[in-house]
Amino acid sequence: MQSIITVTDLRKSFKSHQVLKGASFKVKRGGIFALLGSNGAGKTTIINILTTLLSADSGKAEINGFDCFSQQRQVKRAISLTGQYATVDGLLSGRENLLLVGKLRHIKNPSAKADELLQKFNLTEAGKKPAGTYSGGMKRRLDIAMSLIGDPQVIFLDEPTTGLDPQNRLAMWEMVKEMAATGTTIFLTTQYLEEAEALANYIAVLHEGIIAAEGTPAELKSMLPGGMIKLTLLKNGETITKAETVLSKYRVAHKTDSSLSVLTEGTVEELTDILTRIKAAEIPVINVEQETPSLEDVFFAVIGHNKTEVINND
Amino acid sequence: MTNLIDDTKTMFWRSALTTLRNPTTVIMSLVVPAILMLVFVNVFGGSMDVGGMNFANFIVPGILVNVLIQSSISTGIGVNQDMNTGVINRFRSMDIASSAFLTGHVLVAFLKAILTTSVALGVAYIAGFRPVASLTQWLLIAALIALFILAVTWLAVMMGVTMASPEDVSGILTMASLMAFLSPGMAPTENMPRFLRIFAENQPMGPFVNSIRALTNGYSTQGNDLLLTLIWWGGILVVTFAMSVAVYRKKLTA
Repeated sequence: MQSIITVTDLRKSFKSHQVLKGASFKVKRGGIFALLGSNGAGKTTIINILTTLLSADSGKAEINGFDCFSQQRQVKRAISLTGQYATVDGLLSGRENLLLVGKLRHIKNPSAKADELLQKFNLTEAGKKPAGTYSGGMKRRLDIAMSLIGDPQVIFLDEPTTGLDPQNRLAMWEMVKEMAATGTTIFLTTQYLEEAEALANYIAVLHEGIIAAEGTPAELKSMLPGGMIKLTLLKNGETITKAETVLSKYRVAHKTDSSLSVLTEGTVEELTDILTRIKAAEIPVINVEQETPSLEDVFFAVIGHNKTEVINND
Repeated sequence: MTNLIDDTKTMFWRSALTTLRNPTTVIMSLVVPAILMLVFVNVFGGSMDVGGMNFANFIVPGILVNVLIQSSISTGIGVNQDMNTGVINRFRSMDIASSAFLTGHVLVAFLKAILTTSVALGVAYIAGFRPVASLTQWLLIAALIALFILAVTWLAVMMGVTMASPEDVSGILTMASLMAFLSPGMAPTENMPRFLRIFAENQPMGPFVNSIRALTNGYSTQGNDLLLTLIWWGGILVVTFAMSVAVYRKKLTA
């Protein structure tokens, strides 16, 4: 299938800080592509380069066959960008915001398009009021409506759900799915694994300036072979440490104060070995279960930190 | 080419709507000039000797300088907010004429400044301002004020594109507006300490204030005042325009 976006060996530094160190990936036409990475991983830098806002130090970026550096006009006509923060004009009404984009996109009938979108996004009532008075969720809806004007082939959404409450987040997911259903390619960035998992057909994990892993959600999950064994232990300060010691040949995926999950190849021998070791050390086990790794496990396996470290980095 | 005209019209429309709907802008551009003019003429007028001249006729150029710079602050802030929020990025990701954004802001700022000037002069007339200029002198006054407005507008735009925050823009332009008090605009310079007098007479506002004052009172401009006004404010216009465009282009192609 034809790629709509091709990024090859993209590098970008800000002063001495190298953000992109040779990122390469392709995005297929249609569907939802998620660029996953923690805060400061360079997701916005990639979006800015693809949407012609930023130049790269080296490497290639193409959208729809047009070069993002030398054919910016053609690229701009093929895309739309919704930034990390809603960029609606607070003093203009919702309708005027839509009119503004319609006029700047040079479409035939901006007024009719504005009314159509207000209705589609359930904003007809609010359309006359200044966008500054809208709630966070309404601003995002308006922002998304603005990005649809001019029928772009690729819609870039930079962290579309950051700062939204759970209800609005789910509403945003539905909107993204609906947009993709019309055949438009959606390129979104997110730091939430479950978001990538819930929405994307294809995921690329950006870590330390390169694409550390990529594939369909199923492919990424298969990168953790076999699965995980989760041991629930009697809550007792020593048992976890003891269990970790006897199972030191296995990689730890998660750990709480009463459970330990280790990665395995999924063989019977390993399962037997684990149980034998636990039994021999007389560690009181409440429950043993086999788990399928989630994308989250893949992510942390790929970026090689444990969960708490990553959270502390924010 | 059609894009350039259409996009400039669209940006003008946007800037005009946001300007009219911002209460602070309306207050700073229309209400403050009226109040300042009334206060100065009525409060200070009685106790100041300005060499026999009608006090309103004396103070008008000084107040005009002050209020025109103050009214430009909202332009600077508007440009700055657009530059530093995601707004400019949304525009940049679209295929639109890149000059349209600044041109739209500047056109609206120019009209707003003309409105500010009209209000200030209208209130001054009510307070006793009686200009006695000939038609040629009026044309020259209009031309000089237009030059001053353009220079101040681009100064505000330059601050808007360069500064990191709206507070910085507002701080610097407020300071610039206060320079009107260190000019011949608000009080005769003869009574100032020597170093202040030299500064007041020779800073850019000096020759402008002197020229407008002479012309509105029916005199021709004194000495080099007219030439110096053209050099100073023409120069400021060229420099601030060039700087604004250069910084704007640089930020656009980061």
